[in-house]
Amino acid sequence: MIFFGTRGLTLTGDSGDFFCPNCGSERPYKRRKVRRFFTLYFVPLIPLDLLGEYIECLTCKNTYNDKVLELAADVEADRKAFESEYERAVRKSMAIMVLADGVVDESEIDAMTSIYNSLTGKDASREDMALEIETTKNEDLAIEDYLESINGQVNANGKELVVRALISIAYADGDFDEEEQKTLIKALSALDITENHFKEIMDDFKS
Amino acid sequence: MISGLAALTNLLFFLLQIFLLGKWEQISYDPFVISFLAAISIFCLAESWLGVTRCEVIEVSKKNRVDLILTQITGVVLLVVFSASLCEHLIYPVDLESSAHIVTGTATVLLGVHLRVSAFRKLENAFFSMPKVTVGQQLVVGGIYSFVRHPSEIGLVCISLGIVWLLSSLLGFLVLVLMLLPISYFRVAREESCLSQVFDKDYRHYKNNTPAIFPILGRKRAL
Repeated sequence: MIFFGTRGLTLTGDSGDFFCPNCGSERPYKRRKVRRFFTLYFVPLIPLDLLGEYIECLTCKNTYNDKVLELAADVEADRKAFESEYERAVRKSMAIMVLADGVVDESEIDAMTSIYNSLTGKDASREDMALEIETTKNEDLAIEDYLESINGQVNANGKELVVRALISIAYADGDFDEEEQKTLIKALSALDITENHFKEIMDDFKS
Repeated sequence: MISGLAALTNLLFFLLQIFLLGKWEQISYDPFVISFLAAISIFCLAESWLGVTRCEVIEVSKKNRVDLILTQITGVVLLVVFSASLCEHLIYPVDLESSAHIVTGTATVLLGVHLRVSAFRKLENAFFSMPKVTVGQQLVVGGIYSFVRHPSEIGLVCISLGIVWLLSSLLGFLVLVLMLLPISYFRVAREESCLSQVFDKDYRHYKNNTPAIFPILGRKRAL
């Protein structure tokens, strides 16, 4: 425990009702802000910069960026296209995992599509996933850097879903190689997942 | 910048206390008060320097609520120990030979700071505010951890004890014994439980061969 320094805290802002793309209807929401605070004797004193902000649906616990509040309930295409923060994270993280061993084969793209659609309830195509992999390859992103950058936009629920996606894609080809193991460990560390929590997720995955 | 801000805020807080008690002039001639302010500033600078590269984001949940509350209380109790000691000294200054008291008190504070800095540098990213083990984390048994299992907690107690001794404060001592020690004990117990759960036999072996608080000099350390 460091008594003097900075600490990130999740604060609750305004609330209201919004059209949740996942639930498909009006739902209550809360605005969450992750803000860095200067602390003295571990007491947060001075608010500093904003690390992240998201809209959390209180029903399904999905998190979204601000633009979701402008979403019109009657525009089906908009609703289906709107991705929550965790859905974006799942897609990007799986792409990084697939690229971990340097070889991308067709079965991995199929697995990625299937896992993404299963976890999110969306209907993404194979081409969408292939494009994501190509984009991620050009970005040359390390998984721990990416996940640390989204730490302020995804809640605990979202992080768990990202972990499930990573485990699923790692085991998809039946061969959980060393590079994939290293990438998974880096990801879990960046998401601040504890050993006990990871064991629970793995037990659930295996069952 | 954060380190400087922390040290300055910390110093201002205690200077304000001195001012409110009407003992402002005591800063210029009381070596105990000067030593106290210097020791507190060193503690604050060292601590904030350690934390400058890290910003731990804590999301409160049912699982970590107790640990977070304990951590918050520890911070406040530490502040109370320092403030109570200072207040008591200002109101009831003790007539003592200053140099030995100042030297031993300050040395104890510096020992505590050293223990905490060593613990943090050994653990690095595994140094958390609350007991937890992230995936991929290894059990750290080397360095300062080969002498004692809880150097950062011992460091905290040393710092508090050093301040209380420096200012010869009975009130500060009572707060330390009645509040800080039990809370530290409870926090240590929760940490040990967490580590035992994750590392099982390795932690049991480490626990059986390494003392919790007082190092046994000359004893071979099982690493």
